Amino acid sequence: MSMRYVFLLLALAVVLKALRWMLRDARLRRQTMRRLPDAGYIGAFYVMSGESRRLDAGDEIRLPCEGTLGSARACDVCVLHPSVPARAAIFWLERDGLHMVPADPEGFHVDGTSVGAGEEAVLLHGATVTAGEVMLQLRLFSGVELLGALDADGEPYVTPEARRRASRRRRPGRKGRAGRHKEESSEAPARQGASRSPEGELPPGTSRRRRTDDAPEEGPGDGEERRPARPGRSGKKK
Amino acid sequence: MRKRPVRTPIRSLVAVIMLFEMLAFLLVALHPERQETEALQALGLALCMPALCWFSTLILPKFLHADRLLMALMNFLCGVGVVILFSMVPDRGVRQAMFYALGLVAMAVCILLVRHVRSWRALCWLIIPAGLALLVLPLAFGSWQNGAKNWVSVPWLGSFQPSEVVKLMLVVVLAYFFSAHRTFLQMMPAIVFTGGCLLLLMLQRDLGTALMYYFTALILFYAASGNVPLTVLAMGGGAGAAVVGYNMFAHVKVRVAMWRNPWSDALGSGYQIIQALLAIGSGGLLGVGLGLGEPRVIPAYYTDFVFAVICEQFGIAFGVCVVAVYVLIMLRGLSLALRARRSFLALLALGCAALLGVQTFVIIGGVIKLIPLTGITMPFISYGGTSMVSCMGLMGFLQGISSRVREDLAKDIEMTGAREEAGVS
Amino acid sequence: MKELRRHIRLVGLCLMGLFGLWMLYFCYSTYFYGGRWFANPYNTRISSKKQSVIAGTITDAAGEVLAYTDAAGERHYAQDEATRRAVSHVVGDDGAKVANGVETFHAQYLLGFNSNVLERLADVIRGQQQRGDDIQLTISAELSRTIAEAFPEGRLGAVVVLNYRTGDVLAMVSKGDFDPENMDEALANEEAGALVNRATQGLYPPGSVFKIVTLASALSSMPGVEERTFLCTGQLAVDRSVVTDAGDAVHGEQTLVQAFSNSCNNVFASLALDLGYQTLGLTAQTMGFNDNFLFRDLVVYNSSYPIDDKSLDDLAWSGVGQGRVLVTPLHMAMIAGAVANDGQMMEPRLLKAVVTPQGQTRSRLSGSAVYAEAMTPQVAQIIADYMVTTVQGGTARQAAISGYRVGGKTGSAEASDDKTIDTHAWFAGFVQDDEHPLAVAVVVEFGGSGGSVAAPLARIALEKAISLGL
Repeated sequence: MSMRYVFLLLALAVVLKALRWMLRDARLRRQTMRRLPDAGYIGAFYVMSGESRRLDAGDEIRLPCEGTLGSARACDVCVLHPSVPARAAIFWLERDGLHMVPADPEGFHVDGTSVGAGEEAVLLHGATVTAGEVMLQLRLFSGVELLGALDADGEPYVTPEARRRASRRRRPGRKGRAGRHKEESSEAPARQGASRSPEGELPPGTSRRRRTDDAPEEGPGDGEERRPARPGRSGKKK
Repeated sequence: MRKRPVRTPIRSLVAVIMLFEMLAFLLVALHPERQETEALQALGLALCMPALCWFSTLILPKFLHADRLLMALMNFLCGVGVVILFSMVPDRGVRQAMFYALGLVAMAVCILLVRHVRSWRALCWLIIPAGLALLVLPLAFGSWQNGAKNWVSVPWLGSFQPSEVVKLMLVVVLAYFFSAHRTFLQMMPAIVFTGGCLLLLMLQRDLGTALMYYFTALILFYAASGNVPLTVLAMGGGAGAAVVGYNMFAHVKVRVAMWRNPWSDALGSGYQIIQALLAIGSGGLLGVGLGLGEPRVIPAYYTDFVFAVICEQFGIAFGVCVVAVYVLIMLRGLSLALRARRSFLALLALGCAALLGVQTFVIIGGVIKLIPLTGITMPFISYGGTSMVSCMGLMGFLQGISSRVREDLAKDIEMTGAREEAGVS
Repeated sequence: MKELRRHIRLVGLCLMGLFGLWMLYFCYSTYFYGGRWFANPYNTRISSKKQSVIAGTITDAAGEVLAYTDAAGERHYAQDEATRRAVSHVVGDDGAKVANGVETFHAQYLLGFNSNVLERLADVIRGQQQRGDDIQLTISAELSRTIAEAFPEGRLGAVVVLNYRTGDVLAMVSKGDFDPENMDEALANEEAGALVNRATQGLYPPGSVFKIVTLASALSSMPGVEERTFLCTGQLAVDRSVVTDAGDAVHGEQTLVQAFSNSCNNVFASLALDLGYQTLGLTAQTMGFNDNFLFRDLVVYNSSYPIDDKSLDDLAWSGVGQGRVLVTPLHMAMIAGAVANDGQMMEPRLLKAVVTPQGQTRSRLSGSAVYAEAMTPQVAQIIADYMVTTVQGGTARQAAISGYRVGGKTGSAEASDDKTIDTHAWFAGFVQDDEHPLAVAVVVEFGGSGGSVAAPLARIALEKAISLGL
């Protein structure tokens, strides 16, 4: 019985235990991910118009807190429509909303206003983005907090009209890519603070452009770069 | 909600590591040629090191929300380092243990940094001039040592190697400026900073560190931009710089010649690598035994060639296990990078993992004559205060990111829970 | 983020690949070269270990002691000087002046590097000095003595005798020799490179013994060459030179076996030209030329057959073993052994057993191993017959032993363009017998004719080996 064997065995034990631990972690993570299919996603883009072979109106495409939007398969928000450029926009979530910059010279439109190269748009819950011929509406999951976009009740910005309409509606969910969300919103219409906004109509123009004297707070501990505000144009960054 | 508590493998792993450290130090203490004071020191370390290991792996993560596996592996490596150094030169071993304790503090600082810093932008713009200034220090005040001028003598701490600290800064700056929503123009500050660092390192003749920085920057650039033509161009540029360096610096020529055939100048420039190979060969599969063998014959046996000493004393199989531990740490860092939600955190994790991986590969490749020798140290094991502290800083970053990832996941679970309550899901 | 993750995965794969490469290279280099690194003369561990360990004893196959450490810790060798000198290169010396003698190359056994720490600690506590392992070699001291005695006086060269079935080296005598008990004298005199083991490290032009290789190449790639007749006019004109025969002989019309038996340069040079560099080179490489020999028990310098399409002259002369062809006597013995062993060339072994101080045999030494399939059994059979014919009626007449099937090939290798300098005398052959499977190679530097100088020496060696029952 020699010490050399002992040390070697201990080292092997360390390596094997660590390996087993990593595999166990991976397994647990997979289980958790199955329980939480929405993990990592902050909301969804709801296709309002623009059909193609693989895209229907009413489809919902989930989005993470950072990523790219386009028709390429490698994009995080994959809009399978021929008119959408392969990589249309890059977006990331900050405290004050979803920032989006175009990755394509074509640019995109937010609530009707065009956003070109070098400009940056800030989207709130309910804003619409038009890339190519597809119009998408941003719906953030409940629990995603945006500063400056909360009204008194702590809900994302919704007009009173839409809220009334939702409380009367009991519509079965349409089939979509994330059908579960459909059912959620139809079963629990306009519950205070815990539901997402009802499907369908939301007042347009809820994207907030950056104002020259607004200074939005940094995101929750990530501190992405803030663009210096330029006077003269409301909303779009040069 | 699970009823039975999930049993973590942490306890058994920590137990194994503590056992290893205790046995090793006891063996060192009982060595027949050991002097009184040294034996007492060894016994002291036999108690302190396992205690530190237990503390940092089981107690500290509760407060700092650190990743315990990374802690455990790091402790194992540090333990091996202190044991080997102590068995050769007890004084260095004790100092290495002190650096280890200091490194734990540095690690805690880095964890807190990653978790709580809000405005990375301001920090980065501060770091860039500070980093360049730090690298200028050795040129201004340092002295030539072993053909490189990368040390500065600080009156109280001893010698200090700024390039190790700048390593941390580099990774942060690169990760910040390369995060996803940037155009090439916006990446320029990071690229300029990297270029400046490389230039200063070349002036200092610290080519190994320059190689490390370069590969890390290249990896981060490719990961962030995915721009294959530019990456290939950058690689070509690096190869060109290597050729220029080869022609310009005489000692690079010597290093490459010694890599191809060290036996041609066995007593001169090839001596280092030959003695390292002889040491590895003498160890055989199981090693000659702790405290035995003749490690001091290898020049720089306590910094660059510790791996050869480990192979001699503990055996080649043990050496392979040590390398496996490094690979596991790197893998853990990479998996963290894949799980991070923000591109900045992902790139930071990737940068740390890549930095550790590249540094380890370059040094162990040089020791076994796979690639020419460079003058960099082995993370956690080589003797050196700044090296130890900066590597633990990198681990701190990784653990900070790990805690953020877990926070995000916890928030998601909470959100799902809230939705379930509200009857939505 | 998806793209970023994809890139991270790719980078991760590359890094893993790097480490995988490192692991492979590490395992490869330590497995093949680890022993050699350890035995390297620059390794100070060996000499410092000798201070504290009683080195093990080296004995020959019959148990005769060749080297031992006495009570005072001094290293001594065999009792009588003749034995010491005969096995001097195999055993080596105490101070590692002879590179790769058993004393140095197998120091890991002799100095007990494989023993464990606790045993060593126990020894220290008990006050006993650690002992290394004892080594039993495959060579026979008596055979070596006979060979050394019969070697032409004042000449340099080497004789190797192998067991071609197992690869055991039965004798490896290198002349000039030295006395390990008087190393200072040997070093001071510098007797013409007496410290070099010519059997394993002497590279000589093989001369006509290389015709074995040329013959093997012709038999395997030229169908029907056995039935052809060749015309030797005494002069074969090639590009810029003329191939002649020894003593300007003209052999006239011959069959292949006659040409081999007469050692006709013309015929074999023309065969070489017909075969070409690629084919002949390939055969040579199959038989071990240009290969980096990494035998477990001994260090052998690489034989070389340069294949670079230089000139036709070179090609023609290489067919008869001149030009830039170089070979060691040990390798030549291995080739002769392969012919006798149905084409299988065995790895040469030097260590028969390694015994620990506690009396256990180390199991790490595995038995004989095939080094290469040098030729097909059919070709080997034909060449063996040719070589037997050569001994019966050809140039190797003086190697015949009555009652045994002896085959051989002689060679007189020119060592320089100066015709006044004698040629190296070569002989390579075997005794094809199941009870005495012996292969032999002899080279006498500047000894003259292979048939008259080397062949008789080979006969003496083989007869002695047979009488010893080897």
